[in-house]
Order: sequence, then C-alpha cells, then structure tokens
Amino acid sequence: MSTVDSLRERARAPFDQRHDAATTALVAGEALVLGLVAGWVVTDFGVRQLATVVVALAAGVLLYGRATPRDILAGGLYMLAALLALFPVAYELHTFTVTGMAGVGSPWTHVLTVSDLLVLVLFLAVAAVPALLAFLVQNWTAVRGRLGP
Amino acid sequence: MPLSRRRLLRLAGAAGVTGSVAGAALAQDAGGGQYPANQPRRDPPREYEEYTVHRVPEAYDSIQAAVEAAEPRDLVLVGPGVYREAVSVTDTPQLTIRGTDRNEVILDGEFRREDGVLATVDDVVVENMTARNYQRNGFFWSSVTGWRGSYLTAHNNRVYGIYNIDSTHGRYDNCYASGHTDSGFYIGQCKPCYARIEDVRSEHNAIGYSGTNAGGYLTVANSVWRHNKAGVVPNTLDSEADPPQDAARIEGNLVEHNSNDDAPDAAFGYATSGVGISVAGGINNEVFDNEVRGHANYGIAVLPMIDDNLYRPRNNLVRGNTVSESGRVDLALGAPQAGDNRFVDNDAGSSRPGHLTGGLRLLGGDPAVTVTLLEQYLQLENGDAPMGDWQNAPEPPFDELESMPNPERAPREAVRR
Repeated sequence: MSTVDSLRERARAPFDQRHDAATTALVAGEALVLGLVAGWVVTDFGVRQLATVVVALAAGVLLYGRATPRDILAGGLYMLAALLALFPVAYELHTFTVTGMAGVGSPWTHVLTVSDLLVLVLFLAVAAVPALLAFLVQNWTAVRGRLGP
Repeated sequence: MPLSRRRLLRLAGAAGVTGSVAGAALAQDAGGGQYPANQPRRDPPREYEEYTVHRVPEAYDSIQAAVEAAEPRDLVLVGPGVYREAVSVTDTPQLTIRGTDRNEVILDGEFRREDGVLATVDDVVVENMTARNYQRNGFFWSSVTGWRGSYLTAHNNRVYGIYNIDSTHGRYDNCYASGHTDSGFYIGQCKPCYARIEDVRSEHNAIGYSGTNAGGYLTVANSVWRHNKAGVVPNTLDSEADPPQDAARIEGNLVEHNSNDDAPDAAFGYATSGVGISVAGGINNEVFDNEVRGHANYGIAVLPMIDDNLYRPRNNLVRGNTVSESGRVDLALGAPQAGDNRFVDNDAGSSRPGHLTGGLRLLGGDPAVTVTLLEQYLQLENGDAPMGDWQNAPEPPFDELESMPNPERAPREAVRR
C-alpha cells in the first residue's frame, strides 16, 4: 500500500466504525469534556471558544475511530492527562506575551524560578491521575492477571 | 506585618490548588453583612473657633516641640524646611499639624527614624506636607476615633506611606504615596470604618491600596492607582483582628498598569502583582464604575485567601466597570469561592470562568486564577520575585502635587460626625 493510500485509510478509519448508541454517547461526552478543558487551558490567549470547538471535534473523530469502549475511555483519559500537563506550559508561555506591557520586565524572571517548577510538578501530578486510570482501563486484563485470582 | 503576611498561603504553597479545595473544611464563611459598604460624603468639617497657632520654626525649634506646647484644637503651622525628626502626637487630641507648602515642608527620616507623624489620640489632622525616608510609615494613625490626612505626600518610606489601623471616622484626600514596600495607602482592622479615601494617587508601591480586615462604611473613590505591583487590594488576614474583610466600596477609580516589576516589595504585593483590583478573601464588597486597564494578569479578580484559615470570597458585586488591555483576562473569579459573587454590566472582553462576561456557567470559580496567586506568592517566598529598592524608587512628580489652598486658614475637625 502506498503512503498516500495508507494516510487515506487512516483518515477514513473513524468513519468506517459503527458504534452503538451508548458508545457514541461516551465519545460525545469525552469529546465535550476535552474541548472544554482545552478551552480552559488556553483561555489566557483569547482562543477559548476556538480551542473548545477544534479539540472537541478532533477528539471526537479520533475517539470514534477506536475499536472498543475500553479503548475509547482510555484514549479520552490519556488526552485529558495531556491537556492537564499542558496547562503550566500554556500558563508560562503566556508570560512572554505581556513583556511589552508597562512595568513588566524580562519574562525569564517570571518563568525560570523554583515556583514555576513547582506549578509544573503539581500539574504533572494531577495529570498522572487520568493517565494512570487510562493505563488501568487499557490493560485491565493484564493488571488483574498480575494481581492474581 | 511582613512576617505575618509571609505566612500567607503557606498551606497552599505546600499543597497547591487541590490542597486549597481540601482546605475548604477550614473555610470561615459565616457572619458579615452587618454594615453597608459605602461611606457617603459628609458635610465639610467645621472650623474650630478658639485656637492658638504655634509657628515652626519661628517660635519652636522643632515640630515636636510645638506639638508638646499645644492644646487641643490648636494649629501647629510649619514653614518651609527639612525637619529631621519623628513627630508623635500622644497627648493632644484635636490637634492640627499643617505645612505652609506641601512640597517645601519636608519631614525626613534619613532612613533611620520610624514614622514621620504618629498619632495615637483622637481627631488629629495632618495637612500639606511631605514625609520621606522613614523606616516605617510616612504618616500613621493608630487606634483613634477621628483622623484625617489631606494634601500629604509620602515617599520612599520603608513600609507604608499613609497608614491607619484600628481607627474609625476619617478621611484621606488629595494625598500622594510612592515607593513603599507594602502599600501607599492603608486602612486596616476596622469594622465599621466610617472612612473615605478620595482624590489620592498611589504609584510605585508594592500595593496601591491595602485594606486588611477593613470594611463597613468604607469607600475608596475617585483616585488613581498606577505603576504599583498590585493596584487596589481589600484583603483578609488572620494576623489582624476580626477577619474576614467585609464590605468596602471601590468606586470611580482609575486603576492602570499595576504590573511594576521595579516597585519595592517586602510583604505580599507580588502575590497579586499584575492585578488591578483584587478582592482577596473579602465578602460583601462593591466594585463599581472603575476604569481598569493594562494589567499583566487580571483587571479585576475576586480570590480566595489562605492564612491560618481559608477565606473564600462571598457576595461581592463587581458592576459597571470598564476593564481592558489585561494580559490574561479582564475579569476573574478564583476557586474555591463561597458563592453570590456577581459580575454585572461590566465592559470587559474576557473572563475566567467564562460566564463572567456572558458565557455558559460551568464553574463557580476558576482554579487557574488561584494558581496565579499561588505561583507568584511562592516566587516571592523563595526570594525569586523581581522587585526594586524602596530607597531608590522614583521621586514623586512634585510639580503635579498641589498644596492646599489657604494654609493660614483656621484648623478644622477631622471629619463631621
């Protein structure tokens, strides 16, 4: 299969899926939550609505293309973890957009500090929760097997 | 004060935003609402009919010598000169200390004396002079009923410019303060305060106005707050009596460009840096009809405050303000909050959460707003916050600071009550 055909195949995959109503509702719910979280992450850049719509649509397409409800749930949780981990990055990046304002000095004095590192670690810790849940959902059979009968 | 404030948010610093939510069990949300926020204008203070004028330097070598010779209702009238002294008024109520020229009558602490003028008796009025280079405050009233500061300039004093604690019935008007490591203007620990701040200007301080646990008939109006780290900050702290801060009106002010990295700071100014008006842990406040612009973080923010207890903001009304050019968003409500915080009829372009500017209500308050407070507080606590030196902060624009009209006129009571 050529590269073009392969890409075409991948792009068509979500639309080849046919899920039942409950699974479709799960996709829609996850996509909505992911869109809202994405909007929340980038609010400071003034693109909340755009991010909400784009991420919700993209997440919906990607999740709908997954084979099972378990894959869909795990995929959504991984995406949520990624968005939460992105929050401190977006938060710090915003500092660079206000350097021209009256009184605001070098952005590096606001970004390269221990407290910024703490905020990053805090959000990585929060993001680890849905990531761990996603891992458990996706690998539940193996995890249960390791835990014993 | 600075040590107490350094305790501020320590819990949150350790536990982060999630900790603050867990800490809601400690929330002090009860009470409040006993007094309205607004202190209306009162009739002009009445002149004293019988009084003696004590002239400095003509009749006394120092202002303190004139104060000690004076009787209640007298006027200590100070001529041009640099007075290297700290004046205390501890025995003579209803005294007026007045300069003949605001910019030429200068009290100088030479970076070693504590306060320019300290008043601990009732109805002391200080007018038309400048205090600079003191280790504590430029002008200071403590535990009095009746106080007034008019046409005063305080600059490059270590802690506060014009300061008032545990006092009622008073007014600051036509004053200027710059270059302080806490606030230019301060009213603290009064409930009710029966006080007004109006027609003042505060620049290059850690905070323009700070009002810790101050409220009830307290109005901050028609003033300019600019180029501080933080603009106007009514706030709650356990380090002062009777928290939470309850019922102040912030009305008709120009609040702009309070994101000043070069302003001095020693307490917690940087925690709210880049915010025009912060209601920090307060309840029943009214933020009306202010022009707020050019802040790196938020134009107007209503936030929780964590000291020994968690104080969630409640029943604050933000109405009719014009907010623009904010770095993050114009209007902000932090989480956790205790409800009934209303943002109504403001001209603003963006908010956290979105419903403050008309979007769908999904969150009561937004934790991202509280993250800003936490991150900046931790930066301050770790010694990483950018700040200038109070001794070298820019001098006031003296040519823009008018002296009081007719300084020879009769002394007047502090405020009509």
